[in-house]
Amino acid sequence: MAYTAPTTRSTDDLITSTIWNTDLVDNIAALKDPPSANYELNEGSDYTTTSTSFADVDATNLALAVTTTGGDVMVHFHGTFQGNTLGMRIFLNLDVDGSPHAADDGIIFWRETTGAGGTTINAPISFTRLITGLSAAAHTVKLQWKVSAGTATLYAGAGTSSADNHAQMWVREVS
Amino acid sequence: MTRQISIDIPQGVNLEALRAELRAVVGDMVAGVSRSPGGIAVVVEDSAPPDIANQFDAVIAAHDPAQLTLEQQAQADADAARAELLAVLDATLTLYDNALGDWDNLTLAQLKALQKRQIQVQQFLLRYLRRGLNL
Repeated sequence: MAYTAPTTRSTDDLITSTIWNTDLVDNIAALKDPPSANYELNEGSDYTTTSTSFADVDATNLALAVTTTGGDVMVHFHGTFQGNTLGMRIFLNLDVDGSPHAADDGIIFWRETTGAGGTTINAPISFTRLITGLSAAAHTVKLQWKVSAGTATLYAGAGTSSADNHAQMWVREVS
Repeated sequence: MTRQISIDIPQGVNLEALRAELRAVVGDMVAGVSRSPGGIAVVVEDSAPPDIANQFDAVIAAHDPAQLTLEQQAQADADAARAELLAVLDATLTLYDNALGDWDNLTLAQLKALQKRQIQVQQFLLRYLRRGLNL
């Protein structure tokens, strides 16, 4: 049930059942169940990339579609990554309806600083982002990533020893 | 903006090496190579021509996943040096423990061997540091 902006009423206005249901019942139902989509990774293999330009992580599963009523959309992602090269950076961004949400190096990055006795290191990356200015229409939000060098891995619940983590992404209209 | 072109590479893939090999032939229109549960894909800039994949075939056919990039080889060398250093340190600590446990009864030859070992360890450490400085 889509949200409908309620009409301002005056004294002595007749509130019919249709008006009541539209302004109150349907809108409360819509607010209880806003447009949203989510995906939790539970894949057959992890994701890796060497791309130095932003690329879709998974153009099918991490491309979430919602049909909004014109409000702001909140996006969240959390996952565990691995970098294999000292000093490399892993950048994340969102693609909204085919355009990058943030310019330049995107919305967040993590820099690999090799731990003692090893050349690779794992790190959780998480962000929550508010997207404003969207029209009331269908929208698609995709997770994108790039590296400054080396190879980045996103664990995808694929059974990797000690890294069998299930990342999640969700989008929800929040206003 | 980028797009991804799926490829089939039955011999296996070294993502970093394949990226370098593709860029050497095609140029920087190739942003990288990605692997997902759906397979392997070359990431190209949106400005790349539609038939750019035609240039991939020879590179993919010649790709040897066991061939390391210069950066990967340097990383492997550093890993080996680190492992070698750890082995030397562990062996020396064991030697010291044994010597200190029977210090009053060591012969001159054993003391000389101990001294020589100390010099060898210092020499090894200095070489390790020198390599790390890469001057």
